[in-house]
Amino acid sequence: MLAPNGELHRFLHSEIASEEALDVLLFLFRNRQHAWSSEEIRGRLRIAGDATAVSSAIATRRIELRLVHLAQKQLVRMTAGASTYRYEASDGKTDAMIAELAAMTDDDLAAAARMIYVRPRSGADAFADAFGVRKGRP
Amino acid sequence: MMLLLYVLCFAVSATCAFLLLRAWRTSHVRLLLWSGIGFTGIAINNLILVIDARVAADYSAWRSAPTLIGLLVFIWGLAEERRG
Repeated sequence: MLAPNGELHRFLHSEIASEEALDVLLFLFRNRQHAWSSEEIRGRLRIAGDATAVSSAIATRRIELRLVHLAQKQLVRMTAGASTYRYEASDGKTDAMIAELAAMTDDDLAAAARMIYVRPRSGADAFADAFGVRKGRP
Repeated sequence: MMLLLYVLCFAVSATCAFLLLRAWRTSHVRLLLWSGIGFTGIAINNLILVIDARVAADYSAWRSAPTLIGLLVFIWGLAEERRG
């Protein structure tokens, strides 16, 4: 498992809602030269790939909602006039963090998924732990 | 009796400073550094208080400076943490 990165952990926990949203974001990051529709993303990520037309439509709609959410977080941008999306981080720092995240998921996808759901340690937690006498704790 | 009280105050604040700074060295959580510095200031204050009581001198003006500096660093650190 990779060493935990506090800033990356906080970013994942606060900005990314699920593993699927993470997959969508990283897909757009890795294929940032193009703009993609939710239908294309669903096909490329093989989400509900062999399901019925109805469940495929539901999955496409769900990805559309993930994209809207990512756009609200200023991680992707909707292209003008078309319902396609392109990766576009709001600043260089976020861009560097997503590049780090992409490298991390190549090595340890489970660690990245865990960071989405596990609350990052706050300063108050660290403060309380400093006075702990349990073994293995500072 | 008062000297014992001052020594205990020094021991407690120095222990807190040590524990906080030790935890900061392993976790790198900045809040621990700021609070460790704050407690170090209080520990120095208490140490001067012990010296004050022992040599019967009046270092009250000097005593306040480390606490003031330590607490200012602590408050600044808290504000920095909030700003992210």
